[in-house]
Amino acid sequence: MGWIRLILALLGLVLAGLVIYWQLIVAEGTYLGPGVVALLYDWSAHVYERIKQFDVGDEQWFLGLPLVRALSLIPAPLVLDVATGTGRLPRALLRQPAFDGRVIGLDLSRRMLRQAVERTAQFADRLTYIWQDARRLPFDDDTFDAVTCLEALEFTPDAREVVAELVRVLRPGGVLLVSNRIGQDARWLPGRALSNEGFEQMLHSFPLEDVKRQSWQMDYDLVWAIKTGRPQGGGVRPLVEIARCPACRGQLNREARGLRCQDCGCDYPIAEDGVIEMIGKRAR
Amino acid sequence: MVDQDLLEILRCPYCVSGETRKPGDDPGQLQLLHDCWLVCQEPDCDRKYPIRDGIPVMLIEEGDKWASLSIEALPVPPPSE
Repeated sequence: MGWIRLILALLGLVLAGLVIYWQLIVAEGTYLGPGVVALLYDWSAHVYERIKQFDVGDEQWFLGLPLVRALSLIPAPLVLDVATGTGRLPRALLRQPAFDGRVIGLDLSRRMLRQAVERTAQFADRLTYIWQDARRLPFDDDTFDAVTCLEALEFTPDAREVVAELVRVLRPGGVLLVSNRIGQDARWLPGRALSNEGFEQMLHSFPLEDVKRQSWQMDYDLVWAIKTGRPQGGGVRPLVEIARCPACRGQLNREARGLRCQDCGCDYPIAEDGVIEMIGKRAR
Repeated sequence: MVDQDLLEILRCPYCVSGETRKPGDDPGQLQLLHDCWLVCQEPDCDRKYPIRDGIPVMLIEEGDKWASLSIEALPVPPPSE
């Protein structure tokens, strides 16, 4: 019965191949632990951009432009991109002429970050990368005006744990942008990919409001949300930080009775009713 | 790029997140040493995170590696991976 054994052996090989394909290519190592996911991304970092073929127009339309609009009222917004990979989101955002803030990108794969540094060199003065796990974000609570995490949650052991961290470092009133896995492959990610209902339910278990789902790609929907609570930080900054001398655009210091320009020495009194009088009588 | 703005918001991941979060308003503050080490200021933590090629390595395992070493004994610059 030699041929039966041969067929069984062949079947076994095909099966093993399918399992390996499923575990490493479809699931990107998620069932084998975050270490394996990072290792696979380390290995493929140099071809990642070639595989993804990001379209500049799509990136601007779906990511850069809507984020800038959502942040438009905040001067110099601070944005955190978790699982930043090759710096896709920082690029989309910093290419927007209207964006005047800073971006911090964090990833578990060191080699992806190396690609990111190279591919975003032109924005280096407004961009910082950090090597760390998404499950333990190295920032204080209520820090960022926007927190993003794209095409990554389903490859973490527990999406809820990561979202908890994203929400923790987001300031009240800040913008959360994440993606949910959909499409054919999602069924091969049991326990990882969530249904649209399950994903939104999970988000609603956090202090988030205004949760909105938006079609994006074959494999992903975008989901936007706002952290509940009274907005603080971000746009609300000390006046001396944002106010400038109308005469010379110098920085202003707070004095006993008003504001004084560091550069030209002009004084701007604060009237009894609290109005800062920048026109009218100007004393030296 | 690691500058003052970043230092103001960066914290030790062990002391700021999860079940190991330390008490207090703003736990896990870091001090920058020699422009290439971030040292956790929590009394019983001692984790130290190297900055390699301008990228802070904020992995908890990396911080553990240098916890037993005194601040004076830290290599400058930190050895590569």
